[in-house]
This record gives sequence, structure tokens and C-alpha cells, in this order.
Amino acid sequence: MKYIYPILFLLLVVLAGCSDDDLYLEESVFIEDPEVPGLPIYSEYGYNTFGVRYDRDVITNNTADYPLKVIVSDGSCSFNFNGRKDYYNDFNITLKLDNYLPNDEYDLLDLNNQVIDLTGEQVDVEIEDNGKEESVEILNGQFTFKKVQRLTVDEVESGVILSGVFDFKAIINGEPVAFSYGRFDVIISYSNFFVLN
Amino acid sequence: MKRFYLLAVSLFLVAFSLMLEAQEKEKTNNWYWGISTSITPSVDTELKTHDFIRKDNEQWNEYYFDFVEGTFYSWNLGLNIERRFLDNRLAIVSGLLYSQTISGMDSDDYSSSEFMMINISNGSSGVEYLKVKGFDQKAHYLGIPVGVKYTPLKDHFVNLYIKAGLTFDLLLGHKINTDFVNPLMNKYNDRVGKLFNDPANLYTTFDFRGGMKLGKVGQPNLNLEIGPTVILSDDPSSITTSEVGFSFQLNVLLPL
Repeated sequence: MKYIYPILFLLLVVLAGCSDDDLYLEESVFIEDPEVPGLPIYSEYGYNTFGVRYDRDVITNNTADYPLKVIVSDGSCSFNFNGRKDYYNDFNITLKLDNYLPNDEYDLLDLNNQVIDLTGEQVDVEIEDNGKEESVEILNGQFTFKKVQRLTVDEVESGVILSGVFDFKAIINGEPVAFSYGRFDVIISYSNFFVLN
Repeated sequence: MKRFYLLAVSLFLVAFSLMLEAQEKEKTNNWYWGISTSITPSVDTELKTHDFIRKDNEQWNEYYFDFVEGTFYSWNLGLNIERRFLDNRLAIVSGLLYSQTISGMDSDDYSSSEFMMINISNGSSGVEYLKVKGFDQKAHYLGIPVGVKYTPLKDHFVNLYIKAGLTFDLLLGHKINTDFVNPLMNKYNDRVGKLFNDPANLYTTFDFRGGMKLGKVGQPNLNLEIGPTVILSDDPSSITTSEVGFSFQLNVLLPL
């Protein structure tokens, strides 16, 4: 019993260190697209959602993981989309851009209205299905950052919002598959932007 | 709704023709005038959804509205005129009323998020959110009530009656005030107010009340009325929606 007070005190200190803004903006706002059931609507409000159809399966973000982490390391920038296939199995899609090295989240504003051809030499796509990395051969497709914009809360800069669409065909473990109706609308801020090494 | 209006108009016409007939028979002047005030809290307030409030229409978080509370009530003050017929048993009532509807939306103090995020811009300058604790709106109306009052018992100092009627209110103006988390954001108050739709221009209610009269015929009367009020028109609020309220009215009538 005598240990409970220090633990409670520590808990209070940790909670006091969290900003309400960050916690609020980290939440996802999922509004289902009536035209593509199971996927979130395409939006540009920083709703922290992503989704794509994988053949006839649906992959969407979940409430537990960040839908997207941006990691700069080893001379490339990775956009790691964390989702679930059919709501249960972990399914991650990583878009890796070689020689693109943003220093902070605000450097991502350069991506506004940029189309990335996934068959390009400096582009790589990695897929992890239920913890297992799959071999991927991209046949065609593109990743479009339709809008990358600054986010302010009460006139204070609070990150950037990446919104866009994607689709591609690939051979995964020897089987041709299509990723279609892909869309994302994610806030990138202190919590999900990392520069390693 | 059309059937309801037809029924109400028919009943009114029947009562009116009975009164005209009775008026011819009566020689005494049974005109009264007075002042009244009432308050009508809503019993079924619900919040409207707004796209600019983050998490409105949220489908994963079904309990969002548990964190946000809505209120709606109205009050009025007015001049009344009353013409009594059939030995003071039946009366037609009308007048002129100033009404104010007050509605609000507030974050629940006990919720995990004590504020809402509202999106005020999604343009070239980026996405701008403001943190807001709540909103309140006051809408001002000028109205004409039209009703019928029936007193089933003979005249006593204390007597009971029932009253039914419609009130037609015309919007004079309205104002939305936003309670920002950061007081420095108060400068956005008008801009936020414009994000909401306007309340109904014509606000119509139907009242059915039971009343108690203190005072005898030909003398000043003090009346207390209570009963349900049904909103027949679009909402007189940009923030909440409501269909039924419960009214408490106090009025004083003097013989002309």
C-alpha cells in the first residue's frame, strides 16, 4: 500500500506531460466511404485514416497503431502504413523513397501534389502480412500526395497533414494481386516523424 | 403535418363561428387584456451534427455524443388580449409575444476530452483547428399566438380551464457565441458563428395547457398554466434539435 502514492504521483507527472492537443489529434475519425464499403472516405482534414482494397479484402488502419509513421534513415525516407487486413491481421505497406531526406515533418510540404511512380528506380514498396515480410515485384502503379498542408491548432503549428491516393499491381509470393482505391489522410507531427542515425 | 394544420384550422373556425353567434346574444363587454411570461424547457434535446466539428459523424466512436451535452429552452414576454363568450366559458386569445430561444452545446466536464476541435479553414493556408469548450445561441422572435380557452366550471374565485393554440414566430435575429479554450481566439467568434446554418425563419408551436385562474369575472385575473409545447416547424436553433417542451406560463388579465 505504501508504494501506491509514489506510483500515483508518477502517473500524474506522466499524464501532465501529455498535451491534450496531441492526444486529441492522434485519434482517428473514421467515416465510411459509401462507394467503397469498409474504407474510410477520402478526406484532407487529418482524420488519421488509411485504407486500400487488396484484391477483395479490405485493409484499414486501426485505433491502436499510428496509421502512418515517417522514418528517415540510411539515405531514404520510409512511409510505413500500419493497418489490418479484414480487421484482424496486421498488414503493413511501406513506401520507401531513396535520397529523399526531410529534416522534420514540415519538410514534407515539398511533397504537395507530387505523383510517385512505383516502378521508378528510387522507389521501393515493402509489404508485411501478419508479421511476415513478403517478396514484392511491382508491375505498375502510383502513389499521389494530393495535398500536403500545414496544420495549426489555435494558431500554433502542430504538424502537417498528408492526404493522397494510391493503387498498384504487384506479384506477391508469385501471385499477381491488385491494390485499389487506396487513400490516406494522416497528421504527421512529433509523435510519428523520426530521423534515425 | 398538413392534416394537423387542417384539423387545427377547422376547430378554430368552429369555435370562432360559435363565438360570433354568442356575441350577438351577449350585450356585456367581455374583453380582457394583460401581460404574460412563460418558459419552456425542451424535454427531448438532441445535438445536430456539423461537419466542421472534428469527430462529428464519427463511426468508430459511437459514444462521442456522451461527451457533449445539448440544451434548449425558450422564454417569452408579451401582451395578451382575450375575448370571452358563452357566459365566460369560452374565450379566444391572441396577442403579441417576444420570444427568445436559447440553445447550447458543451463538452462534458467528466469526459476525457474537455474540448472539441473545430475546423475553420481548409484552404491554401492549410488546415486550421480551434479548441472550443462549447457554443450557445440566442435567437430572437416576434410572434402572434392564436388560441382557444375553455372553462368547464361555473365562475369561482379559483377556477380551472384548458387552453390550446398555435404561436407563429418570425425570426428577428440570432447570435452564436463560442467558448474558446484560449481566450485569445475570441476574435474568431463571428467567423465560427457563420459556420452554422441559420435557425428557422418561421417558428411555429402548438400548445396544450391546463390552467388555474385566480379572480372572478369582471375583475383582474392571475392565471398559471402548464402543459406540453410541440414544435411544428424547423428548429429554432442552429445547434440542437427538439420537438417537445413543457411550458410554465404566468399571466395577468385585466378587464378592458
